[in-house]
Amino acid sequence: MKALCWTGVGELAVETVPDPALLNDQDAIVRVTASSVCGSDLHLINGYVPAMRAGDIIGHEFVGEIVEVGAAVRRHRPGDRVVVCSIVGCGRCWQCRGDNWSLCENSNPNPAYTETLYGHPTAGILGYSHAMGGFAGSHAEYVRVPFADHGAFPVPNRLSDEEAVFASDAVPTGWMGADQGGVKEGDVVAVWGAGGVGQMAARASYLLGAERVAVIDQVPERLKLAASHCGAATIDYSQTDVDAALREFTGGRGPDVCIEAVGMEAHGTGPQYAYDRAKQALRMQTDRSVALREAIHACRKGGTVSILGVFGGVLDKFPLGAAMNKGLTLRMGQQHGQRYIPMLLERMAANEIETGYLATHPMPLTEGPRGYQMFEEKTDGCLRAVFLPQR
Amino acid sequence: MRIRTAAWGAAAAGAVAGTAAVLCNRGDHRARGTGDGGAEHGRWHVITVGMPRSELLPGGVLPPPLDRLGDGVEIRTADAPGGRGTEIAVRGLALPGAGQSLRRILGTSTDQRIRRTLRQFKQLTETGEVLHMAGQPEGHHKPGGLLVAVGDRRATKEGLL
Ligand SMILES: NC(=O)c1ccc[n+]([C@@H]2O[C@H](COP(=O)([O-])OP(=O)(O)OC[C@H]3O[C@@H](n4cnc5c(N)ncnc54)[C@H](O)[C@@H]3O)[C@@H](O)[C@H]2O)c1
Ligand SMILES: [Zn+2]
Ligand SMILES: [Zn+2]
Repeated sequence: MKALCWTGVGELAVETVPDPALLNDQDAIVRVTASSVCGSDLHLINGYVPAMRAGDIIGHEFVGEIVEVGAAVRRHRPGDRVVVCSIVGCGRCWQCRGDNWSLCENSNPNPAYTETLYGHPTAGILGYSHAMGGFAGSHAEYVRVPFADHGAFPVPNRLSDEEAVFASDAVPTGWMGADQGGVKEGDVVAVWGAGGVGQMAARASYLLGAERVAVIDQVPERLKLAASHCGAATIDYSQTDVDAALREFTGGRGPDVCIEAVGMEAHGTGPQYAYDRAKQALRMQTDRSVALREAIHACRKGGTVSILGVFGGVLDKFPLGAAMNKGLTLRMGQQHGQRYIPMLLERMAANEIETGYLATHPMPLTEGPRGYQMFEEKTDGCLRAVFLPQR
Repeated sequence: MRIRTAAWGAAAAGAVAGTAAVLCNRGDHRARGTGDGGAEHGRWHVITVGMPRSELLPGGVLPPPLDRLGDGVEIRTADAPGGRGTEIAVRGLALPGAGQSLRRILGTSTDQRIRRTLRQFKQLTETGEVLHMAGQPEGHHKPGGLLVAVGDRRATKEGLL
């Protein structure tokens, strides 16, 4: 089959690889009909996540049809149309039973990497480096889904592939950002990053009762979509002093909940950004965090900063003083998708959450490298390139 | 193989000393046992398995793959607090010496075997299977990927467990 492989820092290639086979009784094989890029892939491709190996198939946000199930799969059968959570969860460990799926204790076959790096092993994630298990990803004609009973969900008929695909990752991640931030009736929420995740976080904030939502980015097309599709106010950080704009937006109080949906490759304008870039380039710090610092600074006293953007290692100049003295709550994590996906699919089918507009650039899988380039450089208003491996 | 049952609650003074020993003995080769009449052994490797002791070790008999650890290890179990199942602690009985260093490089040291076995035991007990990875599709490798390949081969045996 054809698959999109990481071949080195900043390099991707479409290669011909063997088809996946069932390796465990709880596996399913899914014929992929749509597979989306995600901001996390950029961190992998650019070499900021350890343990990538040339030949690794990337991709973790996808929808498709089940073509084969292992002997122990109970909830699915060949022919089912499913969307699969990026996070692999066993469904039975203490963390999965507590609905904290990205903390699964049994789904990372390479536990030593994150155990050594972070103190404890984290869950496996499809197509997301050997540190997260080394699972082959979904930018391929077929993909193996471990623990299929827990990770795959039937897709309502009325959702197209290009809508349903985002239930893997962008929608549950955005929802979790608002949910773990404790967004409630009457809140004012600020979201850093107008990528797929930030857009979905803004929408989720409204659905959870926020009265005002502002989205911060510098890409005009993305800000426009946040306004037209999520009803958010927008702040262009390349043109505006974000802190001042948020004071104005919140009557001087600061946002009740600040959602960071940018991650370790944040861009910025000031001297701090130059400092971050230099240190990250020299690998003296692994992560850049302009947006996170800004969020902590802007957040109202006693508010919550909810971090969705992925960070991999250590970062400098973390404003712990502001967080401590303002009594902030910090919440973060890889998405616990399985907790939310069934509810979110219903909301998507009921048009409460619109996702089709995220798929700005559907294209054949063979154009994968070009798709990622457009996504990274945000050319032609690219918000997400979605590969269609069967076309 | 010795199997013991420990109550790691505050009431059992000796057991608390045992816990302290576990907490101090980080790192494979530095560990020198204390509190066991001077017996020589590696450090404790401890994992929590989400099943009560009565079901996990019926009649005190070790289920596979724990039984395959053989005679060179000591095993201790305790009820995990809050109904979280069973804490299983295993340590090698022989002090890791030069032979163990060589074995560690080869991936066959006692500590490595213990870690892998404990992880597999937890997976099998809780999910019914150990995830297999060999045979997945992948594209062309490059020489630079060797480090990751070596890392993967050791990834079930190393770590902090
Ligand atoms: N927690 C999770 O489980 C999870 C899941 C998916 C993605 N993510 C992470 O979420 C983040 C966003 O994902 P995405 O797919 O939307 O990525 P994306 O690359 O499409 O979007 C990121 C956006 O952030 C903007 N940005 C950069 N610097 C900024 C700054 N200083 N202030 C405001 N905006 C800034 C960029 O212009 C871009 O539009 C990434 O870090 C990704 O790794 C996390
Ligand atoms: Zn993602
Ligand atoms: Zn689990």
